[in-house]
Amino acid sequence: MLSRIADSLYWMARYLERADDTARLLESHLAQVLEAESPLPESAEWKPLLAIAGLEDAYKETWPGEPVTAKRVLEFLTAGREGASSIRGCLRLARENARVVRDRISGEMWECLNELWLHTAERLRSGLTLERAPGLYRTIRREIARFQGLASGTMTRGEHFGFYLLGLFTERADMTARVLDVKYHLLLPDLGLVGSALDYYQWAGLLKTLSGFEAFRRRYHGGLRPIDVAELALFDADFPRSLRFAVDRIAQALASIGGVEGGGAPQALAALDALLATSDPEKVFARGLHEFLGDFLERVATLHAAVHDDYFEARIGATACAT
Amino acid sequence: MLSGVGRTPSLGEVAYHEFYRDDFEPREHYRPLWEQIRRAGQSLLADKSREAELALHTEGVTFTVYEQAGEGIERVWPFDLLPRIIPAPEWAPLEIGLKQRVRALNLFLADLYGAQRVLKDGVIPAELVYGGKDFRREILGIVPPHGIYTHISGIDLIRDEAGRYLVLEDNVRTPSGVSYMIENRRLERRTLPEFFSRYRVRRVEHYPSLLLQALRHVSPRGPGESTIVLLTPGIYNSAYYEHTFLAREMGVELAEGQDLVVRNEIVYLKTTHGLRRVDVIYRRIDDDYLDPLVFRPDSALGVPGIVNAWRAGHVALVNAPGTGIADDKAVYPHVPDLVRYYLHEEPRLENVPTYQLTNPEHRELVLDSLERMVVKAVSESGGKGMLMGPASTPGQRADFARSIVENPRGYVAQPVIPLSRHVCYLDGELESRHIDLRPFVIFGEEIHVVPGGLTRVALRKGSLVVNSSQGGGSKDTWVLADAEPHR
Amino acid sequence: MRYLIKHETQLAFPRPVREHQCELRLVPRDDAHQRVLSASVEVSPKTELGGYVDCYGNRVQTLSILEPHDFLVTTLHAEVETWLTNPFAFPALDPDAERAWMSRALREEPRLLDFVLHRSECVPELSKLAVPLAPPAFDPRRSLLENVQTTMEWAAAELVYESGVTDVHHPLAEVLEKRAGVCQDFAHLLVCVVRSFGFAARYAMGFLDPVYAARPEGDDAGSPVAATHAWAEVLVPGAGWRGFDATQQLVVNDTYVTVAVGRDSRDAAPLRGSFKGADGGEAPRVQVCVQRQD
Repeated sequence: MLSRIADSLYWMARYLERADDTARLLESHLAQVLEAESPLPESAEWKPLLAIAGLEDAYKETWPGEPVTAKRVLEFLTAGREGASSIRGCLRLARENARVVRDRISGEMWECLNELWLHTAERLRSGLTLERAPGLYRTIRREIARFQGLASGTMTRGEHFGFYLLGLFTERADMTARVLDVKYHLLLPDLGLVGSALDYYQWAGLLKTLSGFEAFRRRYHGGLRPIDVAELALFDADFPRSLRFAVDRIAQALASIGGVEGGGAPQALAALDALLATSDPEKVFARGLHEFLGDFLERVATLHAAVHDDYFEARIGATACAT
Repeated sequence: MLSGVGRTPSLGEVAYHEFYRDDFEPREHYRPLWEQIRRAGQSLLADKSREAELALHTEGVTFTVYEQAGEGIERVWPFDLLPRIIPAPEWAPLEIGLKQRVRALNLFLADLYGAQRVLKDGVIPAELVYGGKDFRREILGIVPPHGIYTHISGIDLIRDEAGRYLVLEDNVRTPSGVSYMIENRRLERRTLPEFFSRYRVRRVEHYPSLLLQALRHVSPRGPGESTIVLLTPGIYNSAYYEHTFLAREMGVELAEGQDLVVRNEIVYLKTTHGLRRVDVIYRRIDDDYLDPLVFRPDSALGVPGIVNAWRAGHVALVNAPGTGIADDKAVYPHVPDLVRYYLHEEPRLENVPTYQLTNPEHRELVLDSLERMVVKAVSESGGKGMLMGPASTPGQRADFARSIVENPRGYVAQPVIPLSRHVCYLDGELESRHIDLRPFVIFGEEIHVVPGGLTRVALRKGSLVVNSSQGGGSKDTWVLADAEPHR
Repeated sequence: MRYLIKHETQLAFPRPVREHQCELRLVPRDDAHQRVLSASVEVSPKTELGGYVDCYGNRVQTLSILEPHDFLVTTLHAEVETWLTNPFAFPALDPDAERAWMSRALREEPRLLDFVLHRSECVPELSKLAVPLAPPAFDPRRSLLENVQTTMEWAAAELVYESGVTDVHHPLAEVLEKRAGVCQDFAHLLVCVVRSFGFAARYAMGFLDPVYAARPEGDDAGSPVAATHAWAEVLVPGAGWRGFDATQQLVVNDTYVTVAVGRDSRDAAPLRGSFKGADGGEAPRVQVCVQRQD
């Protein structure tokens, strides 16, 4: 298939998944903050979200010297006009990519995405309030879930679907790792808090972000032990938002696409897979979750670069293959 | 011409009516249709009309209109329910005439970019050709695969007051509209299957397979080994819908310029599994933008080096570069002579009388009577650069007069021909509107004319402009298989 | 005369470019006044060369480098023989007969019309320019050759040679406003006037015997000729194409080697390219070395 089409399918899926993950994060974070008994200072409460999206510097540039407030962070991550770090930006880019591949995806997928974009842009035009934000996030999550359902239900399996899945799960692996990292690292710097009530709500919030609260409760009965949460979110092959699950799907997607001569993707995938395969929750905590996730994110980035070089930049150096 | 007393009859009144006879009874071949409508009542038309519009909407059958700068607006293709019917005996000579014309235009192009006998023999003034914006001297001496230049032609036909078919213009660059011809038929069959029961209508939906055959035929490596792509300028092009439609129907890749690359005079497609050799390019990009190395250097839409790959015989370009000179409106008046010159036959299709504005006598005559003329810029299409005399303001006429004096080679003029009319179902009423016909001719191993073509309708009352970008709509066009409709 | 020619062009890009497509017009023509004895073109980075003869009879090399690269060097080595020692040695026609000769030439070879009709920014319709200009009117009592010579003198008075004031393919209107230009502009001006007479004229690019090459003031006389040269060619009834070097006020003879001709400088550009990547490289560095073989 055309490199340009593959590129667009991949990014359409990534941007949509990013929009979904961001909406989940904001929604659960808002709930958590509102429900908290002894809230942290507003700034400490919201700053970590900027870290997840890698927007701390951008925030400082936009509001130099100003404190971090809930409203601004929400605004920034939801309606920010620049780039691909806000929900609005992600939806716009997802739609632009979908437009390129419009005749490779089903009409229903296109309509769903198009309507979601128009609806969101319209809602954001009148400004975002703390009261109305959760409703918007719910709509966005629901519509993206619908889109992803339509993709599974209407796209013919093959190379096209492979690139779609590759984009979706590369982004999910990336975002889940970021969320875990920031939530754990920034919200729980003090190990003395482990096991406290605050701790319970933090971990519960994290699981809710990953839609994993119920799954966790069904499987683990020893309370919210961080090590169990890590097992579910990192290593559980059946939990759809775990890193293991995402990496398995990436492997399946790459297999359905097929490798290219001299390509770097298989090796990058093997490195990513090995990181999970040779570790377990105990080892992760012994080494430090932050370090582990940093390593993981780096390997995801390497895989992305390899995919880009193998498939999206026409392999001009490669021998022209027979028709 | 004027009768002295009373008013001048309007164009609508003198125009030939396709549907009604002079006594306002439907013509013979429309009677079965008319009886069905009468029996079912007009509410049927209202329901069906809504149904059709909904189907077009959900299927996204659109075209893009550009208004001022910026992104175009996608509009749903305006479709009229009532089919235009062409009886078999009326169609047969048209088909012969169209084939003859396309054959002559191809011989003309091959000659022009080859030995130039036609110029040396003075059949057409050499100044006219060399002064034409769309003559591409850069390709002189190149012989395209199988010598075919105009693989796809759209020849616009109109009918004069007497119902005589005339060629209004030739379109041999990247003619569009064929997807709407097919969509119209599908829609008509779906919404009004009962209309078809009393007629045997010749089919048009096989157009994409005919086209694919013609494309495979010109593959330099032979039809068996042919990777074909449709090259589009991209999503912002007004005919993008048609590009996706045809690519899908033929099962070929829809590529943009950036998807193709030339190495050592071979064109490749950039795929996820490396470079793949391309044999045939059905390009819907104008010559100007096709290859920045040869034509406009600022073009970002095209494929640098593609003309040299074509010159080397490694790829077929469809239609060939340089065809624009054959549908240059200043060349058009000479087409009947070209038919005689190359084929030694009398042309079966006549032209609309045309004034050459490089001729001082013609020019004077036209400038004196602009309000009764249609003036056309020679290398524009789609109704752009056109002055419709009777509907023009004095200011517009003055502007055109100035442009003509400044650049007489740039324009031609024709007396206003009242296009024939047809009934349309508009806003719950049966109304008469002017129409034309664009049949599509495919030149591959042999020449095929798809029966009928795209009937375009000037939806604005009294308007003679049928272009979709200027308020035109369309109808399904039925060419009947038998001489008589079934009773 | 026999000449050994070496012509090198170096392009440098600030950042690597990809998908580079080029057409080179470097190899001299074979025509009535010269013959190429040998010619070779080398390109670095190394790549395969294609080739064809364009519609003006110029020899073109084509190349494509798809991989990223940040330079392109082309080198021509050629040996050419020229023999037009006396460009005036032809049976002159009566001025009246010249028009008839021209009409017949156009009828027999319609392609020549390009050199009569073509107008562009480089070779505009002089009468339509805003710049006040009084080129000599065609004198029907004199031959075309004499008319062209008068025009050449006028052009030399109209423009001052000044290197660096204009870039390639510069619009002639601006050149005339500044009243200064390079050989390319002189050639364009002469072409315009001859076309306005209704005769055929074309732009020519090529090399010049170093002995006769005029050097801009201050240029070190010992250095090789800095670049290629340009002049106008006129289809002279009874004679065929003759070159007129307005920059130097000379009728072209066997000390000139023609590389490419065209309607204007764009058609005869030695290097034409298209690539992907950031532009903004410096102007190409050109080195020409022409040696006469005595």
